[in-house]
Amino acid sequence: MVSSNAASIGFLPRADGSGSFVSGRTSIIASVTGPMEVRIRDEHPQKAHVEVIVRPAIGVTSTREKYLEARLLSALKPLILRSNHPRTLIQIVVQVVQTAGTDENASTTLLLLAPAMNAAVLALLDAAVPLKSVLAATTVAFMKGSGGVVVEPGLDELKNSASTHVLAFTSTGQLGFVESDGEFEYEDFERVVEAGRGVCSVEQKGHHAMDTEAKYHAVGELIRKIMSQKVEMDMRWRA
Amino acid sequence: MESPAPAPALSFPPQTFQKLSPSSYLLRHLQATPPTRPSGRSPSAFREPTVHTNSLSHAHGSAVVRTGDTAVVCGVRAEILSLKYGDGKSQGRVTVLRSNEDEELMNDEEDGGEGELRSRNLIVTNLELGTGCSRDYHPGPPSDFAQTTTSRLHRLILSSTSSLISPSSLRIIHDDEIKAYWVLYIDVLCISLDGNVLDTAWASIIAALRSTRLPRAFWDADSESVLCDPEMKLGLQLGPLCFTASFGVVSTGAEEDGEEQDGSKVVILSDPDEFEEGVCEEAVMICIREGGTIARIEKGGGLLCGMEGLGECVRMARSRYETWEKAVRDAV
Amino acid sequence: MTTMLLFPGDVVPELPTPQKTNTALKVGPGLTYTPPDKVVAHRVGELHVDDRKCAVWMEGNGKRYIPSLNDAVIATVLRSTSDSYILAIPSSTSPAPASIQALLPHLAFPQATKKTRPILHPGCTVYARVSLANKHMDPELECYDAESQKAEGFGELKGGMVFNVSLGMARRLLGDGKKIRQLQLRARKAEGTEAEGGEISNGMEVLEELGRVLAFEIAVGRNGRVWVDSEDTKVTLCVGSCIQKSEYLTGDEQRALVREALRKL
Repeated sequence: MVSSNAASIGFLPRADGSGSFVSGRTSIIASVTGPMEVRIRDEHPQKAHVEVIVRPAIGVTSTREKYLEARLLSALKPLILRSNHPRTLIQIVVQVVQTAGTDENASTTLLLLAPAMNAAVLALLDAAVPLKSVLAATTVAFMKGSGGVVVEPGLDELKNSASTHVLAFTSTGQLGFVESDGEFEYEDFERVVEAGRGVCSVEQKGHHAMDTEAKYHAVGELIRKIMSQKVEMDMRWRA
Repeated sequence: MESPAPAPALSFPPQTFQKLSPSSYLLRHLQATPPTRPSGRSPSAFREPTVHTNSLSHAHGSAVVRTGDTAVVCGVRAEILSLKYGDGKSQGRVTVLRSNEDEELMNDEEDGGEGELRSRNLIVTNLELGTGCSRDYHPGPPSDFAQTTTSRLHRLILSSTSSLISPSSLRIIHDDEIKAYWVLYIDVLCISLDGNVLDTAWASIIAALRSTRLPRAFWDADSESVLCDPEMKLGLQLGPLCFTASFGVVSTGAEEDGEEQDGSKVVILSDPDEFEEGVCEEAVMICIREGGTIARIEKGGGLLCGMEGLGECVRMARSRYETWEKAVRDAV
Repeated sequence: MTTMLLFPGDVVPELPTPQKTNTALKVGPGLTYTPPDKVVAHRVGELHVDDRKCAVWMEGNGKRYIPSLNDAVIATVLRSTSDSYILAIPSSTSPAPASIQALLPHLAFPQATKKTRPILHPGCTVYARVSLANKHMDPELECYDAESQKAEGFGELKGGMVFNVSLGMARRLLGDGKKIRQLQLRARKAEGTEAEGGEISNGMEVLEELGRVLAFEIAVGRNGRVWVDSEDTKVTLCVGSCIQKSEYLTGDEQRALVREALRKL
């Protein structure tokens, strides 16, 4: 079973860009501000400084949020054309709205990564921050025994999986980010990557894919759809 | 009139070049034949580890591990978590459950798997950077780097599928009833930091856990408390071992965020030192479990390393597993 | 006429070929040129190609303003130093203190000398032209036209009210929509489909319609700020709110909006 995905952008009037992403029970919103003035300590003469702040759904920031911040930063930083805005700060704030599970176990955290990344990418696109490419992320589980590959698994499926993989691909299909956990062979990993690449593709797949009111939207398709709606709206005056 | 002194030629020692333009300094080294890193290692060479165990007399288990100029001390201390004020599993604490999820959580507890380790916080990991361990060290509260590394180490111990430490070895049982738990405090102190602290810290944790001896603890029904037998010491039951290998990835064509040029080559640097970590934005970490299966892959920070690169990393990580395994086995 | 949607990383498929040998290709906002002949988009938007001027650019919308040369902006005076004013160039979303700072030299006014320069107090609103924009330096402003040495409308904006609009809307109010319209008309002509497709708006119908009936002064900054002043505060508010509301409206809808607003006034 695949969980349903939903996304939106531009809902925070004070931020330069905002994006939300819902995958199954996990729900995230992200905002982007910048390029703006940077703290002297973080100033880089040639490049923009990128900062990711993760705020938990409940409670205060712990090492878990610091960990998510570091992982998100490693995925998003290479995407941004940082030399276009030297001596500035691009700040990405990720707010967890709802998590898949109640407790702070590893699978809940793992299920946060891909939606958080997608929400942040949508916010970056909305803020028109110069990017090298579009990144789309997904979670793939490799099931125990049967060896089946499940894309965007729920918490129950994660329990029965041999390994879980969070993967992100650029619009040209390059593997930009990996976080795999479990027990697996390299051959399994290759299969998982192929499955993930299919879902994350931002390439336009003809018109039928865009028009159908299908319940499930693959991540890449969804990002394309949301962004083309925005451009259409912005250019509406011309009609 | 004196003629003006001739302008000095623009040349400076390698150390200055390294500081002025770290990226080109590294790339010039890698473009040489054969490619050599500033440290003299070849790109695929790891630093040789040295492992000593039981160096701390007051810890239940400890290890000192050193690779190159990165050195860490790991101490394991166990304390008893008594369930006196609530017998059994659920009493004595309040759990708030969302609808439909009570079953899942209960199952977790029943399984006695890592759910138990996690929900009762039986393993507490911490990494601290010692004062003055590196050039970038700032006194003050734990840096983001220390917190992130702590979280990564903790995640490795409580991997989602199979746990390194089995909860059964931490239970203190009396008449088939869990009376108390051992809580393990795993503290890693980095005394010298020259890059790749994760691999070294992880190996030190493994070595320290293997060297850990806990006194036999038993429930004394008369005094209704947990007593320890100082004479009898027991080791921990450890699950399959795993070791990590970290890599930095850099392209010989790209300088200072430039576009990739033709003929540029992607170079994977095994076990990067601090200077190399500063230059390589892209990092890969592979954790190999006993038997050669992969326990964890982390990759981020760039788009240079594709599937072939990852395959290469996995191969190197497998051979690195052997090195670590031998070093730890010899030491314990 | 088909417009093309590009995403970051997409390569512009067809570049206009220079008609004269000495005209160089002009690469506009949203695109990055990689030698020898690759132009890549770095944000989401519609690709526009002008064959006559040999230019390509991306039409999109945003909220954060990045100064670029010769843009007219509405800025706020923060403080004065010995030889220049420090101004904040706000974007459509950001409050003035959290925005880009720019320098306006004391002598960058028409016929200004040390003694005759205009005195600006902190908090003043100024309409100025960006005279220096470089990603490595703080931007600089000036309040006169470089060629005529005259004010040309630049200077302190006294009274009135400032309204926020998106950067795209600000550009349209300054007439950029007309250029896109012309481009499309030309394309239709080339395809021989002039009769089809209906009317194309220029995005500033709201202003044309308001100007026909009401008397007011307006200054539009490319940083997404619109200053409006008139004799009657009611008129000022009416103009401001009509402009803000017509962000996503077509030309006909804008006209209808203005008619409705005028009826209420």
